[in-house]
Amino acid sequence: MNVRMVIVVGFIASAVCLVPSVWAQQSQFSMDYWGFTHEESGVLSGLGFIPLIEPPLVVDLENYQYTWVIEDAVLDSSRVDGGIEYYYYSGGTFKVYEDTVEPWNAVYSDADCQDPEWVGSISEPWTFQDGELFLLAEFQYLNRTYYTDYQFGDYEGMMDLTGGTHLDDIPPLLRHGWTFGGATDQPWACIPEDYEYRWDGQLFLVEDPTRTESTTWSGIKSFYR
Amino acid sequence: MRTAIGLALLLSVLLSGVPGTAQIVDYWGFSDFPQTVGSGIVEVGFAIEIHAPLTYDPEGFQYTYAFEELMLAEVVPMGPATVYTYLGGFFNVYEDASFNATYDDAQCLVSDPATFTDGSLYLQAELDTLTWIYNSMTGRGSYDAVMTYTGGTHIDEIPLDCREGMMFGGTTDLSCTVCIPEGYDHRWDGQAFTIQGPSAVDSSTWGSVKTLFR
Repeated sequence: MNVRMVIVVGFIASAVCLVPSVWAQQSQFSMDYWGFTHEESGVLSGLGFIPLIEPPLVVDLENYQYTWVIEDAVLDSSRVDGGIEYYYYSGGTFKVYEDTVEPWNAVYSDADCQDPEWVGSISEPWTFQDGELFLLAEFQYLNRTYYTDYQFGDYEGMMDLTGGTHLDDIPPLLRHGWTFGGATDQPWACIPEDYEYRWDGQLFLVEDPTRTESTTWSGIKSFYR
Repeated sequence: MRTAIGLALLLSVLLSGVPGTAQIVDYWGFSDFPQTVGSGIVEVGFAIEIHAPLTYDPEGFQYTYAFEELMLAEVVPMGPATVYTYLGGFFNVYEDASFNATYDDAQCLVSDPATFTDGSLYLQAELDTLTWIYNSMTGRGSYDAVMTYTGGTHIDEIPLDCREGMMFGGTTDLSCTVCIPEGYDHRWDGQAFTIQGPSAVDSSTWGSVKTLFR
């Protein structure tokens, strides 16, 4: 394999991991969450529940309720390509709340399979934002894809963890988050009024970005010799 | 009168198209999804939340799941994405007191697949179809499936007319961002639902139907 080929292969390999390769040397599964989102005037927001949070975050899932809220993610652009819709957002926050006051007041009800007209009900948005701000993350980007003919899609986002009462549980080098998940707007997903999609996702802690180094083209060539 | 009957029938069709549903399982895991028609899928993982009407005991038992005997039937390109259709197979949830299914994030290791399918079969769903769309441009995918809950030790907790089911979720293969253990190629995160089955059909004469609307 000649040098040019090695460089091309190298670029292709790094392109496969494009954005994540910039960020991740190590990742850590942090939490699993689900809920509902909607978009209004180009701003995406959502809320929901967190049934699982992993170390190093310190939690008490038995006694406290953990909820999440996405706010102010602004649609920058969108496009349609062969039945696939792509949406690109910037800004916005992902906040995790720890509610210590019982009874837990963030409530969702879908447990009435036998009622054919049931569409699900969810408590007021403020019930997902009371308690303490457990973790605050600011989105660097959030992208989602939607397959029109199938009524489902997926998403991913990168964020900086910047605040919350439990930020110090996370080592400084791991204070970035990467999230992915699936979304659907099918009728059977029991999506409450005022929401468009049901989301199910996970959040990972990822290391600080690897630093870039400037070099000449000759330098890159000599690296592979 | 004919118009009234037509409207009534249309209304009933519309109403039956909005089934009542309930999320019953929230799960995540790892898959080795074949991309050759006729190949079988391997996927195992953890059921982290189980909802009513099912009862469970997360303190005393570990709940895991596996897709079993699912076969790839069709591959259709869709721009930068590919639509994979799988037929048959099962979505099985297991209840195991040994808690031997493990995942080590730091080492990116998951225990042997057999540790996810031991214990008792808590719930079984027979899959009709599973449609997975994988987008090579984003490294992400998403899926949904149509199924019927048919077995397991807790099947009787699901009312007979609620045993049709659906599931959906997202997938990623960005192993440079998330841990995907050796032997698997995607990380999955999804939910399973029960939905109300079709209303029972009553036989009747045309005259009786007309009488209903008089």
